[in-house]
Amino acid sequence: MLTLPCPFCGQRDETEFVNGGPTKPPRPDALVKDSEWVEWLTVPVNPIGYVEEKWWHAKGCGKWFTIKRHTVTHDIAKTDRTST
Amino acid sequence: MKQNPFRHLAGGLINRDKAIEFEFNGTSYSGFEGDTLASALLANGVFLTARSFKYHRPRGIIGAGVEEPSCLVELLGENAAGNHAATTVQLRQGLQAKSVNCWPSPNFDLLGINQLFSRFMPAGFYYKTFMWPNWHLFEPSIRRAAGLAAAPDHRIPDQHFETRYWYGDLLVVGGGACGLLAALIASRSGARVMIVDDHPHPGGHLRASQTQIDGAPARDWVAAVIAELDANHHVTRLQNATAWGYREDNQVLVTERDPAEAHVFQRGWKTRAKQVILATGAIERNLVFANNDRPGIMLASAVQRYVNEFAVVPGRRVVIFTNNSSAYALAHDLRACGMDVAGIIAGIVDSRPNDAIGAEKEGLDIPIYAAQHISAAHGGKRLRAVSMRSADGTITRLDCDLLAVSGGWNPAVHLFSQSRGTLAYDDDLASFVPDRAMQSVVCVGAAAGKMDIGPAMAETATVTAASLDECGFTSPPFALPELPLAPNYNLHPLWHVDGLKPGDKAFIDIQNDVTLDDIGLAMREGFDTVEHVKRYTTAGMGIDQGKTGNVNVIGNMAVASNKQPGEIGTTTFRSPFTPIDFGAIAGQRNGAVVLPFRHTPITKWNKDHGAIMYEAGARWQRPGYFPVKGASMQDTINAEAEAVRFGVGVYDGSPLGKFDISGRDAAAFIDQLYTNDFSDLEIGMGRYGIMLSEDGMIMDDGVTFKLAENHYLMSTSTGFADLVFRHMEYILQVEHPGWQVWITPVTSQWCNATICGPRARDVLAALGTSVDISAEAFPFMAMRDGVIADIPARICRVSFTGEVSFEVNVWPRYARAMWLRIMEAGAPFGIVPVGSETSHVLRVEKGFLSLGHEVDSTADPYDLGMGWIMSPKKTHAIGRRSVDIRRSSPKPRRELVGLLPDSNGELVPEGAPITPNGARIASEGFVSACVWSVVNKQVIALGLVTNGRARIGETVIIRDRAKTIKAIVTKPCFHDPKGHRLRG
Repeated sequence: MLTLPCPFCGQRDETEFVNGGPTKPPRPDALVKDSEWVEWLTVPVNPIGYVEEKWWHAKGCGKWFTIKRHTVTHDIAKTDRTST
Repeated sequence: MKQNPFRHLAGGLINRDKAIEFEFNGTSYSGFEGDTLASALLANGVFLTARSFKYHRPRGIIGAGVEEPSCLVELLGENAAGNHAATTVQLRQGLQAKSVNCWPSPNFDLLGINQLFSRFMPAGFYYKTFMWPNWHLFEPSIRRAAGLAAAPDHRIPDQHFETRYWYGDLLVVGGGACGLLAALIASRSGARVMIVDDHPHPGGHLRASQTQIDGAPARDWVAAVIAELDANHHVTRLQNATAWGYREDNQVLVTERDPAEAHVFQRGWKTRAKQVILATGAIERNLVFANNDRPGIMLASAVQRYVNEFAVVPGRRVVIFTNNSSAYALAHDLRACGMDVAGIIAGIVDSRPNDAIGAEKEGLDIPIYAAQHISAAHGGKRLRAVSMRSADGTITRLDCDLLAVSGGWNPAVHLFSQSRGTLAYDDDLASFVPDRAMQSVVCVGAAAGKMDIGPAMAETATVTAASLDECGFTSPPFALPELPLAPNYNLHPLWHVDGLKPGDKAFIDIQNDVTLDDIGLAMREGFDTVEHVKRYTTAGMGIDQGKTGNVNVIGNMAVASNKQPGEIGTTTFRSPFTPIDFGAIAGQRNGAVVLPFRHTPITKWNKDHGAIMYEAGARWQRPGYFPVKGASMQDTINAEAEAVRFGVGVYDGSPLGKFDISGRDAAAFIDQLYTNDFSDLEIGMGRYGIMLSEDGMIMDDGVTFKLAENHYLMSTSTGFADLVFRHMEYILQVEHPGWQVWITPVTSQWCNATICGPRARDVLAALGTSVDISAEAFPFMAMRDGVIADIPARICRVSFTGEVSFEVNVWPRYARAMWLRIMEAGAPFGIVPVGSETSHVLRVEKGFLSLGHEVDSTADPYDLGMGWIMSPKKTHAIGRRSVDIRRSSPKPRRELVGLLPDSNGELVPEGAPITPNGARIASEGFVSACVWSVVNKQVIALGLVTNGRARIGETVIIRDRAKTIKAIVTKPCFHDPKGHRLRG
């Protein structure tokens, strides 16, 4: 069970949060090729190392925020108040 | 009371003033306060206590603590529980226990016949033999024969489980010499400290030995440390508490048994310390030789604990077999209480203590057989003798009824490894020791491979100071206690005794009946990694998780493959360290305590009127139906449904998810969420919309009203309101942080009573309202604010029943009053309250979709015949692009259809598969809902069927287990297809 640094509420237990998966690039324009759309939709990054991901502080401030978490050590390198 | 035959008259740490009566396998015995079930059984001379898992060989008690591989018991009576090691069960008055793996008793076990066939049951036997036609055919009877205890069938009376949290500076796991020392030093620094120990009394191995500290018995030192710790309010000390799980961010999970509070059965602790010190000690391992599982063969450390802690010597004539120096202390303790020690067998390669003190101990007048191995043990239900073989092959027989064996010590690295710390093989110890830590954790004492108590305690002091420094405290000056010089720990690895005769069994994993031959066989068959050998042979599995045997598996794999044990490596150490009650994990998080039920203000009225309450999703409690005395459930539902179709009914629609959405960009926001067009929606009107997830599947549906310019009220399904909220917040915060939109969940701020049926308007008129409710002035899908029966209300004309419906929304404080007035005003029209069973019937008759039935995250709007809701100009709506890509594929889709089952009036189970010609092959669809239709007077159903819309009029076949049911495919609407009634 992780603890996560909510940029608004501080270090809190993982149970207060909902994971939103790795940060995706912006939704492509509706006119891109099918293959590009499918790539965007179905292929999340999954590195062995730091991944930028979204979390929602559902049982706290209700804000979406971004962290950089190491997928092996769980080290959190960076927390970003902005949700985008 | 009767004297225990194997109990010494003096000594031990038991309370001889308090006798305890207990029962084992139906026979009554007595022991003392402070006994474990195991020590009490041994004191009473009960040596045959179990039968083995696979071969049903007779077995006795082998260990003295969590390592016990053999004697598993089922506790009976009020505190029933399965699969406890007898060595960890504290004796208490009236305890009832029985062996788990034999029938009718361990002494006369009918399944013991397996022993005769044992040579035909090698590793992988079950995998190889029971493959045809199907393992599942054989599994139940094999599981019964290899059975573990039955699960308890009742709650523990008058007691409960609970959970606590602890956040602090330093957690010390283990209450032995090093753990106590670490906690003591830390407590003097002012840090917040917790120390947990899995024994009822602190002291660890000190309790099992005659060690002296500061020139006095070690228990005096322990008592002084405990007194100081308990007086310090920064220190939390838990006894009977096992740390069994190590998670991320230094979270250590602890289960405390029998806490001081009588009403708490067990307490789960979730601890997070800045630093963790693991002083978990070491666990002795077995030696591998022929018949090394006979009752009467025990770990040397266990015998030492029974002698010193319980004053029990479980035999009359003892032989010790060791490959290391630690067992010599046992010889000393046995002689000190006058026992007959027939000899110490020291191994072909001598492992006697290598310094002066050891030599002094050899001065005990006990024969030491250097350059000898035990080649076999003799006896069936009880050890009678051992055969000793020297290097030149000479066999000597020694009579004995107790053999104490020591194969060396394995540091208890379980928690360290769970914390993802790495391990390294230590040649001197012939075992694995902690290497690199991945979290803020450090091992001390025997857990770190420091087997000699003096140096171990000195290092503990240094390590504790460093840990305190890490969490911002200064270690106070500290004088180490004085310890007598002890022999250095000294070991020569002996992975097995060579020269097994055919048919001899030398067990490596006693609990799972895995022998040396099994390991060899697995490797010859190509299972050459330790994880594969574990799975193929089952070595290291089960209740004890191979605490005494795992390193022997690794050592013997190394011998067989000519490698170093370090190259073989270990299997993964998983939590829990010891078996844990599920109740202790759940704590109070049980039923409505963890997720409280949600109630509307009408719940009490519903219950007073006999409603059977259902969960409507998201923990909302709603009436399922209102039973009528003397009527069947189906008749009751039919009567409720007929009231709505032909008269008037009312239901409590409060749980429906509701969101108030406002702000400059609210319209653009709603436009992106829904696939259909909302731009031309007029103020005071609502529109049905479907929300898709990014992959183009239906996420939710509902009606959104436009309250004012840039102000909307969205309704969602009851169960998905939370999911929709998260989705909307994500879109707003992540994708459009510049938009000005505010979302306020108002589900609990508006309650509603939905009056529905042809007489609904009459009821509303009788209630008296300021709103013009004529069909012309107040059309379908409109909403009006006004007053009903003198109560301010918002009325919406939506319909989930197919009849005229008025959804009367009021503030919660008025909900009950409004409900009562509706029932009163509706009485002359025969109004009845209806439950969710009836709502289901009414919506199936209309073919309205329901989340969780027709919508199961695999359907898009086209599949449900709702292509019209996909506005062609809204290419930017979420999920739109994914739907388009899917539709461009020629692959057939499952489509929503109606079904008329030929089932003689019986309902078809919802979820039943539809298969081509009813064959037992992959389905071509399923029944999503099935009800008795009150308007059609027959069973009707909805279903998703491959290419369903093109197959209307055809017959499909539904499988209901062994039966098949024919059904005619129809359009998915059985009542008022044009919708005249709901608009009326």
